[in-house]
Amino acid sequence: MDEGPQALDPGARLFGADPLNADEASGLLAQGPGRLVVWMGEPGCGKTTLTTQLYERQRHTGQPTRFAGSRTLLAFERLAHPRRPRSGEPAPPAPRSAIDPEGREILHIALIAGELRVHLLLSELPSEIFRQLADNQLSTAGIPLLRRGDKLALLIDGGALCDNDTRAAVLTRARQVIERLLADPAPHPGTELALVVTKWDLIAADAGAMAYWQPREEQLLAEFRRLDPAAPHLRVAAGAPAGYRGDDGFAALRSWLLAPGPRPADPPIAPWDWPLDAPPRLRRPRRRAPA
Amino acid sequence: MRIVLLGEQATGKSSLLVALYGALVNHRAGELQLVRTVDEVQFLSRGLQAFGRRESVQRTDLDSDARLVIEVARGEQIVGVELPDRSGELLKHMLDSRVWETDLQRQIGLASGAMLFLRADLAVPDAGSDAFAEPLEPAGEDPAQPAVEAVAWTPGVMPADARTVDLLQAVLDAHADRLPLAIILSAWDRVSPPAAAPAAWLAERMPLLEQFLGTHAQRLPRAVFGVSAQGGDFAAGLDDGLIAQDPWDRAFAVRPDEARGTLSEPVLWLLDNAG
Repeated sequence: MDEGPQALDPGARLFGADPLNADEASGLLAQGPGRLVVWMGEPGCGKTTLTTQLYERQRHTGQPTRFAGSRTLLAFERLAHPRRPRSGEPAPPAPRSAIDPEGREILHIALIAGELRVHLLLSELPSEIFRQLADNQLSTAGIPLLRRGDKLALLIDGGALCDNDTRAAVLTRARQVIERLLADPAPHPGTELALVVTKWDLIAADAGAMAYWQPREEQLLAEFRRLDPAAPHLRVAAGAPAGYRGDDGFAALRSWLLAPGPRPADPPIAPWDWPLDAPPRLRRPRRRAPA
Repeated sequence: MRIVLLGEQATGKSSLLVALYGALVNHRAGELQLVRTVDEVQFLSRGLQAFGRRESVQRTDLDSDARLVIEVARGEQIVGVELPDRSGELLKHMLDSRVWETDLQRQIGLASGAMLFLRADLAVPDAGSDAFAEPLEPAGEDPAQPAVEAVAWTPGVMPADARTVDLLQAVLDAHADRLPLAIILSAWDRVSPPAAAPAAWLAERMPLLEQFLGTHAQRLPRAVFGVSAQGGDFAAGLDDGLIAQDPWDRAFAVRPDEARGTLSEPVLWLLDNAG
């Protein structure tokens, strides 16, 4: 048997466990339709849970979408691993979102719905940046990710709405951010917005929280739709326990993410720098080069 | 035809080679007839002896270059078939270290077909190998929690479905052309509850992998086979009827159409589907 042609690349590396940077994400957009998704919300509101669930649910049967690959498969696995139930151990905390000094902050999953293959590129606005935006310490112009995002979701922490001590602050933060987005010429006209209430199962099980939230929800949604009159309002219970009988809202969220937006083409994602005044404690230590 | 074997440790690669060789030598390989054995087969002979004693095949360091190189006849056609049996430990090391193992990269580049080995008796329903039956815990998002690494995560702790997708994504990067894939669900006799169709088993037990394969059907055309190279569970003990049979008569493969056939079925499918 002859040896035939070979195209060896000794020492070639497989994809690692890091998220993508802007250039790598732009390379995927060049291959087919994509959506840059930006979650923004308070710490603990469920940004990482939503990202992880988009991957993890594909590991179940009966999904309306088909998994077509991920350039950040290991990054998803690293996020999902500590959250998987195992032998009665309590779930340990997941790594907190923080600013990556190398700009690797985008996760990728390719999904097929019907005949449409879409590259979902998922990113989080770091919680501290969100707070600085709300507090008017940053302008939206200083956050390029907001201008480039195709889908921008403002997350309301349903768990915090169940707590008398925190619910008012949650509402205030949301209104501050809406006001900031209205005041500055951002996001881009091609950006679609959604108001997402997370941990809806907790609200559904708490009559007091429901009574508090329902009248305010309508008001907040009306204010939010000044930004985007077509913005959907989604109630999502992505981490609900197995016995939860209500609609967990995830199918609606996924449909919104996959739906084509008004932009005729996917422009590249420009590398971005977070504002220099972001607190140092947010920054992950720079990786050392391998020896 | 070069066929690359893809599978981690104890996924049935060596057992299939041994049993396939036994079936060919003893004229139990259906349409395939052995014309000539090209390489030395000490490892395979030793494996067949173990099967005769109803013991599993044990690899040693000396078997690191084991392979089956034969010429087979199918009707009037004579085909050379080369099946190198690399240690699954090497593949595991490659996936963990994230650096291509040069020999495997070369084999994939040259292959006109592949066999992908998965253990049918280890995966649990609706999950990878990690019993993913409950929704994820919303862990670590309490602002009061410290920013700590949860556990020492490594690629080695990924469940089997994710590891296999990871491997196939690397294969797609290394092999520019179409690569037919015979998926071998080994230890098929031990599937519980018994399943009729191997493809249905894959869709139910490893949905992520099945979706990935379905969305890359042009590049990775595939067929799923249930294979029992031993013909039964030696550790649990065979019933008298099976003990009385020769190893090559105990072994079987279940084809994609659910029909029971010989261990040559995956090779026949690859011969039919290689470009």
